[in-house]
Amino acid sequence: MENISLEFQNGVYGLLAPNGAGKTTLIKMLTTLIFPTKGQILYDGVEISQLDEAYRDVLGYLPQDFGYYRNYSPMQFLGYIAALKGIDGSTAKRKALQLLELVALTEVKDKKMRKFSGGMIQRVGIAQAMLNDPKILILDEPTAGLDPKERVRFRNLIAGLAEDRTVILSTHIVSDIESIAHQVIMFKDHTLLCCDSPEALRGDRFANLEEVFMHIYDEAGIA
Amino acid sequence: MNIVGHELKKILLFPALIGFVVLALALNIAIVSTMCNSYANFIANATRTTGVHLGTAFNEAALQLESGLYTDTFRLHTSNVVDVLYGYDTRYIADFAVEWRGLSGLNERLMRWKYARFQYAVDARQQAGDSMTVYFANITYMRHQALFNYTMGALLFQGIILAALIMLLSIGYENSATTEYVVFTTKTGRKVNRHKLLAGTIAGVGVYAVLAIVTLTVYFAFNPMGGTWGSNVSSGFNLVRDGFMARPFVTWHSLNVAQYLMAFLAVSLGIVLCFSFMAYAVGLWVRNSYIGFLLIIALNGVLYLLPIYSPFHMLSFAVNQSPIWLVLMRDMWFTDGGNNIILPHFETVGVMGSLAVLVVIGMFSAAGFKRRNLL
Repeated sequence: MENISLEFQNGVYGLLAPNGAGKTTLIKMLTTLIFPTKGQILYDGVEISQLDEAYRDVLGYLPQDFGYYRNYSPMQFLGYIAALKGIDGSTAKRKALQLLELVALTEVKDKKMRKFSGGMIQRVGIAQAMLNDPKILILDEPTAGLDPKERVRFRNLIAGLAEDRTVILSTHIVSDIESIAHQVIMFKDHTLLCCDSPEALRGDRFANLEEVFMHIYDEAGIA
Repeated sequence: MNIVGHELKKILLFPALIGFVVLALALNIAIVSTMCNSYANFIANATRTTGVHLGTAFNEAALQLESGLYTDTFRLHTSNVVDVLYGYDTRYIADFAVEWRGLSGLNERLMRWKYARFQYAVDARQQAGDSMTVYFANITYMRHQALFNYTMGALLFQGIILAALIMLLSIGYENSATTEYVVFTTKTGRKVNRHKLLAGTIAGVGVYAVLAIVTLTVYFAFNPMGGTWGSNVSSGFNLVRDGFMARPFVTWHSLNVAQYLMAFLAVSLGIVLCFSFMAYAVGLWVRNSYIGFLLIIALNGVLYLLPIYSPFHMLSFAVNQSPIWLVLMRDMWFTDGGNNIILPHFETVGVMGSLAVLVVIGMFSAAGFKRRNLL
């Protein structure tokens, strides 16, 4: 990634770019999985690597390939992640039950996850990311593998979560963010192309964000 | 449940681990149950009456033993015993070691220094009458080997394999479950490896303890020690055999069989810890547990071959105190260690030194992992 300067406030930010454009790399930097060779990532004015666990304490992350323990139930898995997030046992249990209800998994909370569908697993992923009530929620390709019905439900869920936090949602599916993103960030050749509201990006020229996307990346020959 | 508890649960629920432990126990029980020796059982029982210190009182008590299949043999081998440590001169061993290995200069001086010091231990064992204890009389070497070389050796090999595997499975768990990104971005983050280290260590030591307790309980049920517990392992009947000579088994400190077993278990535990820490360091660099295990085998293979092919004696002497060599030289623990060893108390120095080195390597590995890009 080169020459990227972004500032995030509360709301949903859609990272929109074709595969390989650098979305996941940026997200891995934001989640401290990889480190920039140049430049800084600041949270409240402080370098995130300096903040270390104080930064990760306000972070919730659903990776692109969300891994889970196949022999664990959602409750067991959330219990473990809660321990890693420094949440005490009783709070963790209460919070896990609340979140499983939010993502409509209460009925299967004690069932082993090995038999879950892709959509159910993604919902467990959302629940684990939300356990610490994060100020920054980062979702990397969260709708991958979901059927259209689940995708709609997922969008609604994200929109609801974004009221009092920053949600950064990476996707290459335009419809995922069109209706819920406050800002859309686009990359091209590993550099920042634009960061604006969907309305501003559409302007008078395009009917929807998909047309903007096709226009920008068709020009570059990569869409 | 705290993080260590969660990590322990993850380790202990590994089906392969449970299978390995059950197999190891079955193998150990099968092996130790075939080690029965009726003459040894007779001696274990007889020494309750005779005591363990050879001499007139012992002979008189032996005469009072009820006549049986082994009584005469026992009396024959325990009467008129010559103290093998009387006049025993360790300079001959030093001369042989120097000549055998072609040592010169500092290496020769150190080897001779070790045996000069060892002479004091030999004299002390002789003066204390340790060498004039019965142990298992004329079958002492066989019985000592059965317990301390074969049984404890099997336990040690199983212990180090399991300790390394457990630690690698623990450190590599998130990689195999593809949960690294979720786990390392939590508040605990990469510090979870500290919890994994603790859990892996507890599990490694715990599994070794379970194996040892069950195996030794079965061993002593089939092979009771009776009065021989109080006999000294530096008994004149005991021997050390290595590549270049058989000689009396003499320990640096006076140790009866019970004390020797405890000391042996302590060193074994230290070696198990060494392999845990080795696996921790390797696991931080190689996130795949099975590749990590192959790397540990390769690493120990190199450590095994190094002293054999190295032209530098000092390097060989140093590597001979590495964990894998300590395992291979277990039948000489607490003795002079022969011509492969240049320092007194090689097993204790080796374990402590290896642990210190591995802790430092582990700390460097952890520091490296903290700043590594997780792609």
